[in-house]
Amino acid sequence: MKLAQAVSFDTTKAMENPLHKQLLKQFTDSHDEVRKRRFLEDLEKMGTFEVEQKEERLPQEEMEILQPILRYDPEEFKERAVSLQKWEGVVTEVEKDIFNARLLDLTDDNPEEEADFSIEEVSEDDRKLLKPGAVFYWSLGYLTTGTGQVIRTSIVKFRRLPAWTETEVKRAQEQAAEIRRTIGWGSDEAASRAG
Amino acid sequence: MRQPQPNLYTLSIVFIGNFNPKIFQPSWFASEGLIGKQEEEGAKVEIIHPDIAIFSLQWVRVQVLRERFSVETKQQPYDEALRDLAFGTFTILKHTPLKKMGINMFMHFRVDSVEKWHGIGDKLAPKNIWEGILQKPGMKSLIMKESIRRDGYRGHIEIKIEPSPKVEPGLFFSINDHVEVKEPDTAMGSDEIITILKEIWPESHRRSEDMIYGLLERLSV
Repeated sequence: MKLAQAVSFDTTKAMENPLHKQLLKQFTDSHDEVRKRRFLEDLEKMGTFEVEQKEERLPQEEMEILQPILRYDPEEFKERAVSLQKWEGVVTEVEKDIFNARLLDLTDDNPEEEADFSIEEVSEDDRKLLKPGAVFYWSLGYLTTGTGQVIRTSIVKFRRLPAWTETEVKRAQEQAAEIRRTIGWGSDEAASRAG
Repeated sequence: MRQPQPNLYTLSIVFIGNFNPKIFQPSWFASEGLIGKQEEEGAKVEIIHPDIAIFSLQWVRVQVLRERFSVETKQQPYDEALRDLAFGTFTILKHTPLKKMGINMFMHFRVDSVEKWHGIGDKLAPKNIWEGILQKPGMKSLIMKESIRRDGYRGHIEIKIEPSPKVEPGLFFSINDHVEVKEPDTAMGSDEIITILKEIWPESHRRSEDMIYGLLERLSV
């Protein structure tokens, strides 16, 4: 194993990168001194990071995949939430102010449960997704704000996945037909007539 | 419920492949239904450029370079939403070649005392071998690697333990669950990697937590 070389950070060299130049210009133009300072600090960290990559035991790509390249955190990203318990839910029924769901515990191996939720627990964005069959994640835990305040939280987040493509629907129909044939559950024609 | 709770937590999913950063804008994600309209309106765009795109929502930070796509959250309630965002993005962009994937979990834990913190370093990296070579040696970083994946995929699992730079005295754990497609040099689309993501996610997530909490227990933190 080659030892990592002791290399001091060279700001001038780092600033030859056009992306770095552009980011720095953006922060300078907007007089955003806080982000500018953080960005320069992160460039310094990246200098250290590059040195670490010189070890033979840790090929460059393996080290790189560990983390995003630019790691300066804007203030607004400082909020942190911890889950004490998490469930995946499937909506079974929607009424005026509440909805009912089946819940699968994602934290422990507990049996499936059912629960009623107030629709107010769901964000405006996600209410459009609220219908029977919709999948959501429910988390109980606490949230630490940027100022250090700790708040108990219940977070409901609906799953957003793209609609199935025609190819996927066709593939699923073919698989269903294959399963029907395997278990001897009537002809394809009868099954497709039944929907 | 896992104990102790981490002081800081980050989960990220990184894809290595070929990307066009400029298309990764909040408006594109909203138009595809991957984020909500209000989320789009509240997005903090840091930069959108042909070579780099960075923006964040309340729960996620998206960063795209020409060879790298990453999403990360510091909020555990959104772990599954993070997976869905990565999965949904490349279900739509199915012709984007994805070669490698890292599911990365980072946790920082405070340790009760400096003495205990030194004791943990001594346990992980006994100092007697350094006697006469270094004066007062201290462990800066320890990386252990499982080179052959248990699920048969190409890749590895790597655990890194370091003194936490953010919580003092504290420990930083990093788990890198790394997978590659069978033929990385000729990867044609996203299907292989996102199918692996869907398949290994529950086990990967649970295993990463088990590894960190297993180590914490053995280190008596």
